[in-house]
Amino acid sequence: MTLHATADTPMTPQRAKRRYFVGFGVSMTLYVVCVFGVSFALKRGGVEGPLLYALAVLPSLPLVYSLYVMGRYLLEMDEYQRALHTRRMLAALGATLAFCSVWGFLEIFAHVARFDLYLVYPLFSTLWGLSCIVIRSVK
Amino acid sequence: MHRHPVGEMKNRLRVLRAERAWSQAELADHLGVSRQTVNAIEVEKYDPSLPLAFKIARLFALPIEQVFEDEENSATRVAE
Repeated sequence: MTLHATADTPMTPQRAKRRYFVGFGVSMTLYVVCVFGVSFALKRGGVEGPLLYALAVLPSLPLVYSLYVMGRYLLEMDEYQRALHTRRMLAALGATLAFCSVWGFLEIFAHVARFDLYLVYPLFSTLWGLSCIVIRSVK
Repeated sequence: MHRHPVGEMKNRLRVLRAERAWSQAELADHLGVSRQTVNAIEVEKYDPSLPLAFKIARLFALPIEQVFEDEENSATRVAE
């Protein structure tokens, strides 16, 4: 798979956006299917060893694919949109890292409720959404 | 927070677009960028890269300095 448009299919902002929404929709659909599928398979019991590990990892793979889709969109959008979204994503990433660092030490020393690692992705997504409202310019 | 020390850029994109009676979306199509990008350049919220600046100048068949002007350049012109 290539990240860039070929000569016969020039990448336009509209096409980049469509590819992003299709890719993101596919990844989220697969994610829901995997979460429910794996939960159902494991509830029946009797799964262990390498198969258990393989099933446990399965729901995370669509999320990893969605990260690829985001990266591809970042490369395919035009330069202003890229500058804007890079700022927004960096702000969201910084806020996510800050939250995880603070909460991690709260867990160790103050024994607050555990923040499960699978929640880091939705946390980042939410913060990215918020950064899109707050960061409206690159200057 | 420190900003980059290079001065602000000015441009005549809105005027040039109006002369051709193009909408922002039409100009964006000619340049292969989004309408939001054209708007950001017009309201001087974004300075385009050199390749995009040259593309804009070529589209309007003008030298680049007749489309874009930096603060230092316009200050020198006023002093003259």
